[in-house]
Amino acid sequence: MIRAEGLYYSYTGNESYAVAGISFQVAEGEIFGFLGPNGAGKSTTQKILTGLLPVQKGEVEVGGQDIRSASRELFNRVGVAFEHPNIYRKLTGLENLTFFARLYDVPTADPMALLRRVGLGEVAHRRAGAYSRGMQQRLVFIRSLLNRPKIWFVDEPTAGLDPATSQLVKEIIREERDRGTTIFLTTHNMQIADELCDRVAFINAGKIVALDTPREFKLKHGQKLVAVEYRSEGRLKREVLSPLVEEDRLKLKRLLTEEEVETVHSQEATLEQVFIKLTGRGLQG
Amino acid sequence: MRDMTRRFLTLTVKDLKLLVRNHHLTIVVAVAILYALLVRFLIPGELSFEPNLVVWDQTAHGIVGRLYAEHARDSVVLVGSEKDYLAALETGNRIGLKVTGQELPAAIEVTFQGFESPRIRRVLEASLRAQVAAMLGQPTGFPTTSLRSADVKQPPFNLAMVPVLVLFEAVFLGMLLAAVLLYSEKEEQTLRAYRVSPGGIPEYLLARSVAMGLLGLVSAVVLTLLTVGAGINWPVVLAVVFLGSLVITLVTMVVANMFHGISQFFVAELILMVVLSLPLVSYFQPGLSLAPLRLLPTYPLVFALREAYFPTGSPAVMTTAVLQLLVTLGLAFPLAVLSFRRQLVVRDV
Repeated sequence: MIRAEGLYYSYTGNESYAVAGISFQVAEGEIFGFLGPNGAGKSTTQKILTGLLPVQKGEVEVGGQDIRSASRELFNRVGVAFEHPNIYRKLTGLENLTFFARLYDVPTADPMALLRRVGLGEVAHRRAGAYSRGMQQRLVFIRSLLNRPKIWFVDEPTAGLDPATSQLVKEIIREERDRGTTIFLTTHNMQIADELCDRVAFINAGKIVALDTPREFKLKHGQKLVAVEYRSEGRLKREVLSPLVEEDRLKLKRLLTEEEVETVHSQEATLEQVFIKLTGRGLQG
Repeated sequence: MRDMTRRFLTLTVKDLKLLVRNHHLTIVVAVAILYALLVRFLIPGELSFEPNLVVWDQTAHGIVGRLYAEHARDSVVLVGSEKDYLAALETGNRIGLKVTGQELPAAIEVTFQGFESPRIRRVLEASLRAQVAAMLGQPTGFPTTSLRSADVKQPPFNLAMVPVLVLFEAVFLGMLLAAVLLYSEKEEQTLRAYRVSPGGIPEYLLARSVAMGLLGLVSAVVLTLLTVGAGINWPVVLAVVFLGSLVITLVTMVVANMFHGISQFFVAELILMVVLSLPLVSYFQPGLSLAPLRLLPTYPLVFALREAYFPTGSPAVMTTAVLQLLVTLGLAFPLAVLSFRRQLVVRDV
């Protein structure tokens, strides 16, 4: 559904590349996470994929079309949820959505229903400039769903949102995946990537340093250990056991049956830990 | 085509809403009213180029002095001595006329201030000679005829300014407001959202031009009704103002898109305004109708407006203007689309 091959991009027109030889493919119906810190090249890549920046070097296909000669038909199938709340501030929330809905040649979702879906129904007729940042973010998010996209680019979908709204946004992303939408999710939030993505590409300094499923990343780079916290003789105790060692397996069985176990945690790595291990830098940088 | 038309109408309605909510419509109407007040109450209906004369008639009958006093009472000072003559000349920018001799034809001597150019001196000298000769019933020089029919009246000076003010308000103010709208979209980054929709550059530019054209029409109608009145050639006025606004908006959009903000664009706008104002030289000095000036879209606009407001029996001026603006639009639109598309890809991301 999305294919990038040997993609390079330089803002300065010289050898200083913001994107330096990126290649990947996203299959239909997949949620593909593009994970990296600020300035790693995530947004530049997404801008090239959506036609906002020209392809300087390499090849990009989106929905079977070369993005350099993308037709209107392609943009009828594509949705882009920007991180920045780029809305017409002098238009109401409903007018913003109605305006964009009328640009499409395909059946579109009911703007009012979308506004209600993210809790903006009551302020639909208020000018968007008067919305809080979080409300504007929600407006931009649902605007990208107006044309019921088959390919959906989502940039930092939960940035600046409260936990409840973040949860709602994640729910909507899952619903879209269930509908068969191909989702390209750009984020530096490893929890989002872990929860939602089928595969994740780590991008650093314009290059993809690793690409795999979150599960494989964690298994490959984590420790195969289980930490058990249990109460014994009135005191809280902690054991770290390996399921690969016979003695530890028996101990784990005994603790689970005989002791008052309070927590059991597998010790696989988080995506952030894997990222740091692979790149030597954190995701927040 | 139907989809493009729908998108064009959607964009036009959106732009009109933004023009109203950004108070652009209010500004345009307020400026039109202000201009109308200037025309009605501040700019004079006639500009007198007659010099203020000091006449010292030493002839026995004093006939020249008497005749001047009868015909041009307000601009003539009659004196009876050389001392008064010189004193009167020292007061204000006056020209002296000393008439000597006992019998007609009298000898006449003209006294200038000294800073007049030779050309002005010759014109004034000839004018005075003709005036005096006419007063004395003497031949005034060459017989003259005029190409224009005698019943064509020149408009009062204040009303003759209306086409110029329409140009300034409907076109030049429109330029500024079109740029403001573009920069507000750049600041809000809404163009990015538009560019990942099926909406294209042609309908975007056309809608913006039409919205600005409609704003220009409002301004022209308000200014015209409050100054010249309703009895004018409305189809031509509306057509040239609308087409002129379309062309100028396209030019503005392309130029404004080369800059990141209104402050950077300001210098370019000033240059653009100066260039587009050059046809006003021909408007006020018809002898300076240079060929390159005729190529500017403001040239046919201002002359067609004058003909539509104050007909001189030259309808071809209006037809030619409409055709010239249509041709300019036909050339400007594809160029604007190409230029805007190329620049927008890199500049607005």
